[in-house]
Amino acid sequence: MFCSVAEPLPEQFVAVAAEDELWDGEMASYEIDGSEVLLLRLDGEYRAYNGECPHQSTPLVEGELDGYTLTCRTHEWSFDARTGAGLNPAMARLRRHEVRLSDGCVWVSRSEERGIRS
Amino acid sequence: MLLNRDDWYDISRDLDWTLSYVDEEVAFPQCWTGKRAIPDEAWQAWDEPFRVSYRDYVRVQREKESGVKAVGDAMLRAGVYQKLDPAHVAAAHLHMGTTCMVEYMAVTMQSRFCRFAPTPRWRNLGVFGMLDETRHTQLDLRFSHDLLRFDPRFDWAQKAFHTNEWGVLAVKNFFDDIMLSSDCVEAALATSLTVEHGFTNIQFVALAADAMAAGDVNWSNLLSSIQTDEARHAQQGFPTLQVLMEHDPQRAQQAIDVAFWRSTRLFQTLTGPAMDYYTPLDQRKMSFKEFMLEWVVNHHERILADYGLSKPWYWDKFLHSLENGHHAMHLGLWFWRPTLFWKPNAGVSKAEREWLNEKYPTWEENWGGYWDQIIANINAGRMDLTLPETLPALCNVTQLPLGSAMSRHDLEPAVSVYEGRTYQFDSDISKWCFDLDPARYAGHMNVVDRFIAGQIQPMSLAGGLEWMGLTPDVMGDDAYGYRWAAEYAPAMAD
Ligand code: FES
Ligand SMILES: [Fe+2]
Ligand SMILES: [Fe+2]
Repeated sequence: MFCSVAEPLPEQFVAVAAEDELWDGEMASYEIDGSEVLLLRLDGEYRAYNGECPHQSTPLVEGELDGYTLTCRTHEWSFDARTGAGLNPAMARLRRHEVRLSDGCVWVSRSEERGIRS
Repeated sequence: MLLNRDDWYDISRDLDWTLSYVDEEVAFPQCWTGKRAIPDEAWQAWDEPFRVSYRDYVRVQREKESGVKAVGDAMLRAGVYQKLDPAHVAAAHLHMGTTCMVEYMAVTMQSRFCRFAPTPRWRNLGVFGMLDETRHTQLDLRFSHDLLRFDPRFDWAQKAFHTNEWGVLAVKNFFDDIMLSSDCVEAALATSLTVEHGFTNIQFVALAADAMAAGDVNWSNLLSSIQTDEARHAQQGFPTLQVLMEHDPQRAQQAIDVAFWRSTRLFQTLTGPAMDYYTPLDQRKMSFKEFMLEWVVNHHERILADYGLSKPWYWDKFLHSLENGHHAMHLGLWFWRPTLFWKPNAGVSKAEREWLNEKYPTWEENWGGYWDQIIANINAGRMDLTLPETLPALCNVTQLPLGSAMSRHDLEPAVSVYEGRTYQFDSDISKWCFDLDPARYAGHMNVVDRFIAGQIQPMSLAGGLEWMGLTPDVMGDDAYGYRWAAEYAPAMAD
């Protein structure tokens, strides 16, 4: 996809989708630099996480998004899709990627956010 | 006000007795816990972080159940089963006959976790495992019962384990060992971690994909639903391995290495032929080897590395077996087809053969000649030459035919003598299993041992078939009535 940037974003951002690509309550995964990133849309807002389940690496996109609960299909680990916080087990957490909207596109940071405590 | 799960979960799963009327050893005998020298405190580190409460469990399982039932009913109404390819159908017969009662054996194993596991956390999870396995048994029985009117072979879902059919005995022998007779620690390593976490993927993910492609939505859906439970309760193996790695890594290495090889042999018998020969060619997803490499070998290597275990000494031989063992088993299954309760597809039409050679570059050299001879006999009308007159010698560990573990070039005998009796093995890996713990396997008589000892009468193939419970209505024969061989017939000159 081609996205020209109106206001230049820092270099670590990659355009992955058009702004209207996902409906509310949908998710999709994209590859950035060889690793999978999960993009979700909730209440109109986009969020991005590392696409692999922190348990045993099942692609989270194959799981189920029910309301705000994201459940991995393999062993049913579940997460709050709004924050990435583990619901079960509570000690787990999804690693977040920063998201920006610009020029009609969704831009996702290549690197995971540091120091985010959800 | 209802407490949140997190507020009560730890208390509920750590609830334990302080024994005062009986000694610990009486309430939790070593032979069932498998604790051995591992100190009590060590088990406090046993932790499976995923929390299962009874309320959540029932809610999730109920949803799964209604899903499976709805699909099953719809497919039955639509008459889907009657339209399935006969080669594929054999895979379902084979599965139900050899798996349904294993699910039931797993109920006993999980019940042992509930009662005897060395930590209350584990006992708590065992409850859900036990309910899972009860569900699997019931699902298989219901599925088979619904289809019984179309084929008496579905009766074998219940009947098989009450017969002496040799393949069933091989399955039973393994699971008697690692489910029914193992202490909790060994069962967790051999069954939960090795079989359930690793190998069930082949039967329940790969075969489910093939079944879906073959249009068998009902069975595919059933397998997938069962697999979601397997994946969850298989997790009981990991915290157990963690404890063992701290206190008795040698035991872990050995239990896993033995179980890995024995599982390999079993799945080469049950799943290998189903994937690479019974699934109609245009519906095959991955070859058995490809699936094994991706789903079992990779995962297993990663687990070994993550926990600090070594690859088994036999790794290269295992990889060689992966190239060959199930082709040997398939050839044997088809040739000894009257000893089966399903109708195997030969799966060696010209197009299928091309596929086999592409997936397994040594297939033609190893197995092509045998099949060519069989084909020539069929086309010459000499069916008698394509049928067995006696039984093959069997391994005293795996119960599978000698010569069926590796390529046709690896036929050196593997033998051990223990307390005056000679035991034979399908490979030096099986011999190694035996030699590690001979008392465990010694004394057992396999089908051929019994035959030679005169326990099966009359001493003929017919006597053997009767002893195995094989009746004409279920007895195996070529799935397509040998029609596939016609394309090899020399052109009629007239
Ligand atoms: S891999 Fe996601 S829950 Fe286990
Ligand atoms: Fe099961
Ligand atoms: Fe299981």
